[in-house]
Amino acid sequence: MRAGDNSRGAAASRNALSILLCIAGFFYVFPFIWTLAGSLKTPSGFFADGLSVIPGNPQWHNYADAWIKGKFGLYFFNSVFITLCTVSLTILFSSMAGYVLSRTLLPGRKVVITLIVITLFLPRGYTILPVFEIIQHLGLLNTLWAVIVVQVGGGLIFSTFLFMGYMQTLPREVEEAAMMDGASFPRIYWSVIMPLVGPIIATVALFSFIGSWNDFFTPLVFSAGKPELRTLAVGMYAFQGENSRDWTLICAAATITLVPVITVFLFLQRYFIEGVAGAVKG
Amino acid sequence: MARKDPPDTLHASHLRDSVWGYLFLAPMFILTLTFVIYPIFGSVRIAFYNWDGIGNPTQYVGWRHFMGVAKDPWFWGALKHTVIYAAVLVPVQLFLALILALLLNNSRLKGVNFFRALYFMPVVTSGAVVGVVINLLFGNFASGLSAPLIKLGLISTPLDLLGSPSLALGCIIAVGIWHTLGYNLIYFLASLQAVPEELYEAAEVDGASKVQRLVHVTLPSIRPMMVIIVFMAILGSLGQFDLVKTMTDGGPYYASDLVSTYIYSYAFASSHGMSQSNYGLASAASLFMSLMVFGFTMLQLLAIKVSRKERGVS
Amino acid sequence: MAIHFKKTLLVLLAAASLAGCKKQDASVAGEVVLNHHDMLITQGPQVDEEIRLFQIANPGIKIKKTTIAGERYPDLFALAQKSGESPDTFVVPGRPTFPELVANGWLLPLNGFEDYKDFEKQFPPNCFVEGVNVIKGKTYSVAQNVNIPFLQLWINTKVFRDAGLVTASGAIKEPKTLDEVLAFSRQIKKSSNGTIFGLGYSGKHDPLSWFFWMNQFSGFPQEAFGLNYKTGKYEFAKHESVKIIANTLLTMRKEGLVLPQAASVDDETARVLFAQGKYGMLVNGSWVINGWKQTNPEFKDYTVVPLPLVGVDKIKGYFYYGPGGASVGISPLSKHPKEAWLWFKWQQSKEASLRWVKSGNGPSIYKEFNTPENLNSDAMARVVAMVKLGRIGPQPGIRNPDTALVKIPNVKPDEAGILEGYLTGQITDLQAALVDLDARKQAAFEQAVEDAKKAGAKVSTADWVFSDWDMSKDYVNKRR
Repeated sequence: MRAGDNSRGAAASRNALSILLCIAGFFYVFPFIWTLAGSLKTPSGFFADGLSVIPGNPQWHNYADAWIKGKFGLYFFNSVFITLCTVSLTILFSSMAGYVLSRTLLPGRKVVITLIVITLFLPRGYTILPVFEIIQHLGLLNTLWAVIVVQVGGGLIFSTFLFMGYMQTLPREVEEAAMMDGASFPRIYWSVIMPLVGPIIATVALFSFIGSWNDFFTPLVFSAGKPELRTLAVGMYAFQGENSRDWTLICAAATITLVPVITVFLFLQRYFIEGVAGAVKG
Repeated sequence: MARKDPPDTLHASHLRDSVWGYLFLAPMFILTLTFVIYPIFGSVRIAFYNWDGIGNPTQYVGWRHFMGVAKDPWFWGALKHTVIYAAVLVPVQLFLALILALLLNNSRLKGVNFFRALYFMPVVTSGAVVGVVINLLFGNFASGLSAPLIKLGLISTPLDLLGSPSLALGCIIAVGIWHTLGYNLIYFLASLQAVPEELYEAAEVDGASKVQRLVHVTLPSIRPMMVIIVFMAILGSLGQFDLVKTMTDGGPYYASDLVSTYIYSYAFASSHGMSQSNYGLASAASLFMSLMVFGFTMLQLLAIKVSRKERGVS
Repeated sequence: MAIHFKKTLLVLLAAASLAGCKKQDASVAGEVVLNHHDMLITQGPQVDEEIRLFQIANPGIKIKKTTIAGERYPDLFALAQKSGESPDTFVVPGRPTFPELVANGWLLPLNGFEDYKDFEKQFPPNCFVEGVNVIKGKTYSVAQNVNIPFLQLWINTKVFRDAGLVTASGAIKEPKTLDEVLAFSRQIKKSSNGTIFGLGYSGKHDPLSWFFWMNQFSGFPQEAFGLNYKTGKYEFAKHESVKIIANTLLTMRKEGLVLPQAASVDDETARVLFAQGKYGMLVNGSWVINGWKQTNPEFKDYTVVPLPLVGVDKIKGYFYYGPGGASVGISPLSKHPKEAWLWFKWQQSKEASLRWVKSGNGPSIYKEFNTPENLNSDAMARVVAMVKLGRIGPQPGIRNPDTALVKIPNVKPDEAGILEGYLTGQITDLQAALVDLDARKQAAFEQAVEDAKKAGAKVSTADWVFSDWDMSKDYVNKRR
């Protein structure tokens, strides 16, 4: 770090800053704290307590209700399955493509890159119905794979773009030794390049995790016929009727939904920032 | 991202290994083609029909839906709101995110990781959930928020934040800024970390103040990333849907109607009266918007290219 | 991280595929499982209770209920049908029209079941109507509830008493006209020093449909949303009641008599604020009773009256509904039609209907059950008494089934939007806005008829004209 930051004055001002950030942070995440509190309130308390974040008499059974009666146990499982598959496949396919596009001289490479850039900025219209028909033709309807392939397909362009950018920053020499040894194409990708791009893997993982976990529309459409395929985001919607909503259960469901994402972020954030930094340099 | 081709080496055979190369590209290419590009064209056909989304479209109407959208003042109104939304959100959010990133880029700050996670939190929550929670806060407890203002004599009746034509869009913008600020915070943090330490040291030797260092070293260094961040922020805000849908549904009297809610209102009929869903009209509106955004994006790209050339950056 | 990524990736994939394998439903041998879809939330507990009782009475059959809430039920139902995964039994969606549902092959005709004749006999007259729930002589569904105007004016009696809105004999003064609503609101505001409002509603989830019923009660001969069935024209601009309602509400807003967040608040919150005594009159439906049991169990100070009359002192029109009706249906794809039929009959049985009434979910199609003792609540009894405000109205779908093929799109702004815009001050010339609305709705309607004709439907705008309609009587719908 820079000189001059070591003085006592700087330390004091850092502490003041910490306190300031704490206070601002409280208001910043107030809606979450309030949701958490709401998940422990009674239906009548929910409205009577207003903005209070301390539930008088914690109703832990709201979680049990959401988990069992609201079938959130099942939905949680579906969400985890879908998200795991989407994240792994996205990383695999986009790193493969990114590798080819950034580190080989494959004929037609430039055309593909141009297409990627165009598609990256091509806004998605009302395309769910054609997508539904494709899934139907593929025979994937009424399976969780329907959601997975649609999510993977939708996110590949952006992640390929990220991988491409990051891999370009690696020096040319890294493959040389392996090539001398006569390592095969897939071997170089898998054993040489991939271990060097951890941060961008973390980045893509986090992006696709958030996208997949919070995706509402795709799983909604593909669970229409089979409610056993619902995800957490869709399940939460089911608590909202036309004239009545079970707010305390919605809050409990929201909390259940939120915890895994925040945990993943806490674990990946260091790599994540590095990864973005790496992709930026490219 | 422009970069020169790697120099030809002895291992050109590897670099040009087309069998493996195409094989590696194939999954990305096929999935994108199937689930992104083809459906966009698939939705084109629907735009020429009256179709309620059930059964097969049979009522062909030609270009009428496109003409209808182009002539509809409410579409242009929705477009105006969408542009306002982006034009206010993007600069404000980026400014705040930059400030926060500069503060949080100090690894000696106590609990810096905690703060990063804290300020990133809204991002990991879906817009629909955020909308519901915010709506509850605003709707139920508007009186709680208004009471001190009334006491101070600033207003006479309790505020109806989301029900007021002049405030509704502003509220959505404010929540929108809050919701996705975390992404830009991370982007900025990343680009700040990529600034070479030597540049700062050199500036310090020259006796530059903190502000001077920020203006002359930090900002120019993160400029390339800025371009991308602005780009993404604009595109993200042009597609805003969840928040508006759950907070105001475009109201009151379309004062916060965005193009996305405009499209939705035709795709899913209201439960009232005799009116029916019309995916044809919705598709037409959606394509119309897509074309405009696409054109706008291409212009932006062109502008970046031109400005880069002028500055002599490759 | 760099080294472990491959392992991590492999572990993730392995975990995912393991998880995928584990997902086999364990069903007990010999047990029939029926999938049942509905969109009922407040009535959910009662449906669960029926499922429980049914399963006790029919061991070996299990009902798996799924509730798909809200506005997307019809779309998701259609998608489910397209994906070939229809639930065995389901609440019939409101879209597409009933004849289309049948034409799409999504409903099983009930006449084939052995005891169908006996089943039909138990219902009161006018429950089976060609073009409504009977298509080409075959029955597909039947209604469970009797038709009542489902929005009413709810009164917080404590607020009324505190404001002195009581008669000489001590009873609550009940507003019958919109003028009285205005006067009472002023009184409430005055006597509470401006801390309590007169009127509230939820502008978010109920975009002012009560507005149209008030029009109907005042003699505007429209189908629920604007088409004058006597002339076949949209005539919002022609009817005084429309403007009176808009102007009265505007006055009330300007004077601060309406709950300030009414325009954006959701149904439930509006209801809770009412129970908290923040305002005196609420426009809402009979589901509020069960709603309050949850959110405000102590709240008992309320009663209910019909929506107020506008510009007239005697009722001139009624709440119009179609004859017949539908509730539950059976899928032709069901692998267990016999069991589905048992469950269907159970739900439609007199016993289930009586339990439905007793649990506070509203009136039954069997009118003999709708007694004050069964309804178990003074307010509910009052709501059910409003059945006398209902009449059978003209039904283009009965006259000409092809009218179902006419797809009238939404217009923007619509009637609710215009009222909202007028109240917020975004529209100043109401008359011009209504004339424009009529023109746009008319154009959209005529265009939709043209489009349907071109695609082969045998329809004309005349199918929507019922010049012989007497608004005070049940209309006898005939096939053309």
